[in-house]
Amino acid sequence: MIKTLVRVGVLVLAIAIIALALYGIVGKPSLARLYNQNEIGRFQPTFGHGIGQFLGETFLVAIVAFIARKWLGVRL
Amino acid sequence: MIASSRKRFIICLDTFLLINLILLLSPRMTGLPLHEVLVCIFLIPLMIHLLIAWPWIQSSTKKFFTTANGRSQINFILNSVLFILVITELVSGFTISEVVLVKLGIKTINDRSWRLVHNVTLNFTVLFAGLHIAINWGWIASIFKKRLNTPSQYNLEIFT
Repeated sequence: MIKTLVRVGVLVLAIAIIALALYGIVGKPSLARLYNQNEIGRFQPTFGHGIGQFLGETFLVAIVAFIARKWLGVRL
Repeated sequence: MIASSRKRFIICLDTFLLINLILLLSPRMTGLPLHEVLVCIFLIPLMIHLLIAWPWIQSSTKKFFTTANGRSQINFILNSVLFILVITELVSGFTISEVVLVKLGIKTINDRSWRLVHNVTLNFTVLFAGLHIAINWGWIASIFKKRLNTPSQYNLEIFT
């Protein structure tokens, strides 16, 4: 149990380091750079678009894995 | 947990993680509110996935600068980059959150630069997730082959 907690702690620390580095690079979110589009409206789910995007993303991950395996010889 | 049930658990967990990742990559299917809820759900199997892989993480980190061969070093680098990309995706997503954090009473600013980070990282996450699957394909295929080749109790009952 303690081992698991230590490991979770290490992971949280790693996440915190990455987050801090990102904040250092991009900066704090600012109103001067406010994005004004309605994202909730833009991503209103529609069946056709939704299925299309889901299958598209699945295909993309599969094609990368296939090319890496078949032609680039990515393996252990 | 016996070996086979452990493997079954890992396969179920990884399959869930992959489906969750693809759903996260498809906000037009889920809509923004569910997209943000899925991120919160995604964190739990991700943590378990990393905790299960901990012995590998520990040994390959130790070996990286000493005895590891080229392939192991590349595998370590690929996995580390994937981890950084996923965390970048999550952190930038939480920073520009419009639903979940707002509902929890945390004020967020929909910052253009953070949105750009979120959208650019996404493409690399797809690339490295694909590479992660490719590199572990041997293990994944061996699990499914074993399951297909091993006659189950059900099959034995049918054929006797």
